[in-house]
Amino acid sequence: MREGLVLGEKIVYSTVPGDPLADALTRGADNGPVPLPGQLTVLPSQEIFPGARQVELVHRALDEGYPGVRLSARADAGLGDSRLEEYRAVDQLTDSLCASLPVTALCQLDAGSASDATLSAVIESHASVEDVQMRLGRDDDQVLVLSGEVDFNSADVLTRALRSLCRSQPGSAAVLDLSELSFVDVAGCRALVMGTEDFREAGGSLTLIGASTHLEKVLTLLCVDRLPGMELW
Amino acid sequence: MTVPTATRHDDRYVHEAVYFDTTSELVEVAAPLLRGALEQGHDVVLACTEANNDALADALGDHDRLEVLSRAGIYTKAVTAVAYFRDLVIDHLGAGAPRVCVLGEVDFGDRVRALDEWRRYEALLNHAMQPFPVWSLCGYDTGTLGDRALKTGEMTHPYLRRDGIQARNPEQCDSSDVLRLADADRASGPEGDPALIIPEVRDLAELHTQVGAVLQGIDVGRELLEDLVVALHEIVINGLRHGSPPVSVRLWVTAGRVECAVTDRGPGFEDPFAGYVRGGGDELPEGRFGLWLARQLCDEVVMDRTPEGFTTRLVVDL
Repeated sequence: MREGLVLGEKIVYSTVPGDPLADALTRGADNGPVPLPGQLTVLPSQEIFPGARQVELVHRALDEGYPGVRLSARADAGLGDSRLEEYRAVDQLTDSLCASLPVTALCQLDAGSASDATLSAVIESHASVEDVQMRLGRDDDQVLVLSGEVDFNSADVLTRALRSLCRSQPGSAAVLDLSELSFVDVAGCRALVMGTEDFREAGGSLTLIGASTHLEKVLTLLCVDRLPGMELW
Repeated sequence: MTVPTATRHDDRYVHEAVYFDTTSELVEVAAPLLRGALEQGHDVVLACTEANNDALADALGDHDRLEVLSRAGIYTKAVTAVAYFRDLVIDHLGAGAPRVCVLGEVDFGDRVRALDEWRRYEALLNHAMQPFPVWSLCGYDTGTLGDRALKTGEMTHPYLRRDGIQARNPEQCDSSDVLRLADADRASGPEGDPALIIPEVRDLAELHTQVGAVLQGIDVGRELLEDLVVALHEIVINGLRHGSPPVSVRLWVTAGRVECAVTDRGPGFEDPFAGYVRGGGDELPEGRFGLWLARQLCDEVVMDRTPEGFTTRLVVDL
């Protein structure tokens, strides 16, 4: 969001009660950039769902001359388990906005309190997943890229995110770039294994590239490189 | 009592020290045993000094099931060497060998406390290889090794072979006692004030940062720092999961080494083999891997009950 402010983009931030980030963004807290007048719109999340409002906001901002729009919404605000269909509709709408216009959408989810179904649904509908510590996405060459720190806190999200990305992997050979991964513990290595298990068992191969000397040592010690369908370069 | 070569034929683990004086004596004693193993269809692995490897390989001649290994890089520390041979044996058995015979000469070189490491290695081998149909022959060169090294052989092997004759070893000590002995030698912590004290770890990312900040001041390489941080991380998680809070961390930097003490208030555990053998299964199941990893990444991992609680000490030699 702050990066968007610096770039002069329009920020649409939908918030839920008790979310401290909206206020921090408005005030430019922690040495963040202070939004220009009109640059930041904060609105309650029920206005983002079921979706019509965001299309209108995006078009208006682009008409006003903003080079891009960043949307942020709490995915779980639109997503009781009974409302999965509604969530998916908004999600598809957002996808098409991102695909056709200079729009970046960041959907937030409290992984600690979300149900299994919710977490899976949200992860499956996104091209990349990140939490406080780590980010998993796909680059332009279809290489999966894992960055940041992965430990037991983020292992569950990583496992699901890997499963989801492996399912949408074109072909049976996937590459995972670890060069920006600054820390991984045993639980994180387990996530690499569990998250790619179905893919590898179905005949897929995962090649790990860019591991540091330390990381290579850890993966080797835990025998991750010896698993079927797993290769360490 | 003389136990004839019959022990070769069964599917138990047999761990035997072979005493010899010269290369030609080693060949005279060991070559017939190894040849016999090959004839039985067993795989044979040599990991001796270069001269002894060459002489034995010459005596045995070319053979598909004979593998000759350089010792370089194998005997870095006990836990690594045991893991190496365990994986090696698993690979051979997995490839169809009914039994594997390994003749090696231990050498922990001029490493700090090399003899302790040696003793630990032999004791761990008894434990780690137990499930496998393996015949470990450990060569002890009476011409070059000192008394303490030769004694280590007697302390840790269920069988000894002197003058070519195999006999049960009544002097063998219980392997867990041997391990505890090696640990006890190292139980005293460093003197002086810690460079870092965290009375209660609440945030692991912050722990990483704090340790990094302290070690940035001294010249440790990036890899070594990363090794220590992940080892510490795993031990703290063990304390949080299996021990009782608060989990505290102290870190000392002394000449040539970095030492961390992780203390939780729980009763700890007793198993001297904990974390020495990688957990089973192919898919990295839960549990004990953290300690395994710490043992592999650090030069010493010693656990002890202290007045404050259960303390795990991690030492990295610089």
